[in-house]
Amino acid sequence: MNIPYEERRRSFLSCLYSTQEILPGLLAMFFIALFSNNLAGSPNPLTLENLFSWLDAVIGPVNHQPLFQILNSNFVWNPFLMGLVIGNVFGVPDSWKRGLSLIHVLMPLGIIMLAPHFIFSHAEKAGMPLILFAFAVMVFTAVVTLVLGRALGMDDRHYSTIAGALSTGDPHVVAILMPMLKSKGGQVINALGCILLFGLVASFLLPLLGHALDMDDKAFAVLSVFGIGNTGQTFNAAFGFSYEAGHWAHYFDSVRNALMPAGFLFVFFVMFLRARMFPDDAAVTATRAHKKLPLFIVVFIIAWIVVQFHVMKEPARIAVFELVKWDFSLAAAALGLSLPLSEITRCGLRGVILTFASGLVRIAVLAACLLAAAHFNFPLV
Amino acid sequence: MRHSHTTDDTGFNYMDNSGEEERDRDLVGIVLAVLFMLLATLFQRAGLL
Repeated sequence: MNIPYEERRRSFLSCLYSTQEILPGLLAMFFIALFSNNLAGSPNPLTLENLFSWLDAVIGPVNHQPLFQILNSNFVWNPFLMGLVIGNVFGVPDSWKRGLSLIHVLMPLGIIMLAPHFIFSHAEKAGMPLILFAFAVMVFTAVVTLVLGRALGMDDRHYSTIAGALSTGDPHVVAILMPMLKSKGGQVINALGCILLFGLVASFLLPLLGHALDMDDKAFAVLSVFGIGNTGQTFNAAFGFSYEAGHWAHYFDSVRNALMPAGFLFVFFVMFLRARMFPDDAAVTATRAHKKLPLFIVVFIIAWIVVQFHVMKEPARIAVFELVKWDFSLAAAALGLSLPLSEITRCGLRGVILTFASGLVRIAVLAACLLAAAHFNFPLV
Repeated sequence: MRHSHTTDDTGFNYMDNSGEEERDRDLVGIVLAVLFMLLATLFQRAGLL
């Protein structure tokens, strides 16, 4: 029988359970992480990351990009994929489950350690007009996605997860938003798939639009960075337009990266305030489970502010990011194991419709603003 | 319905995260994150990194 946590609790460390209870699950996560990514300190060459790199070398570059970068292979996606396959083919033994619950420790741990990754001064070189423009586009995309998602009658945890990932342009924001919005695993992965699919289609079609509108290299680079976002897909679009645009995309991508926390925190606070404003509305589920502002979000915000003053310099910043890779590799393995495929598809096609509708609105508005800036000689870039 | 991927035979669901257990898990995560970041910064300042 499962003894309620409150009865077995002695201190806050009781959530870690005993070594005997967590060891099988912890080892499962550990080995999935170890065979998925090239992690700091691990000499294992037999990883999914290396397999994809080898396939990239066989296939050859697409618009100067490795194909599996365009398909989003990385330290979250690889262990998730491996966990998903293992869980769906072999099932998940009961003995693993206590250990796999460590995902709920790893999530806040990883999110806080991401704070040094977002340094505002990295974006300053692009100039304040572009930074403010990028911020406005991010907030606009989030609002449009939230409004459209509500209009489509979707679950608010699902559409707010899409809003956060689409507005920041980073599909991995879905993992950051999972404990914040209290989204279900199926909704998170469905959202991730929607963003990836949109980015993939947009990255091949956007150069055609750029040429049709006779855009210059810099303007197109801005359009690809803020119209798609996901790094490999952005560069696929920009290099697909021209070599110069590809290099400018590298230059502008730091702006999107620096502003990312503002995007997912905006979505979180909108949903958090909404849940407080409508406490009796059964349709309001995102963040509902939080009785008050979660402490790990407060700590993340404080850490994010502190690192802006360059308290943590390189290589300490890089060392912490290597820990983030370990952390999210373990957590993604547990998430992959938790999901039957039916749970991902249960969310249906509305997520795809929402992502493509919001994404297209964003591209249209961005292109119009960039053309207007060029026409009126506004020094946006 | 029992979710076979996440729930064991005692009814423990590893994807459930709520109440006091959630706050404790958050706290452990926060303590470890702050510790790792402080150690990395201190090691660098001490010339060890």
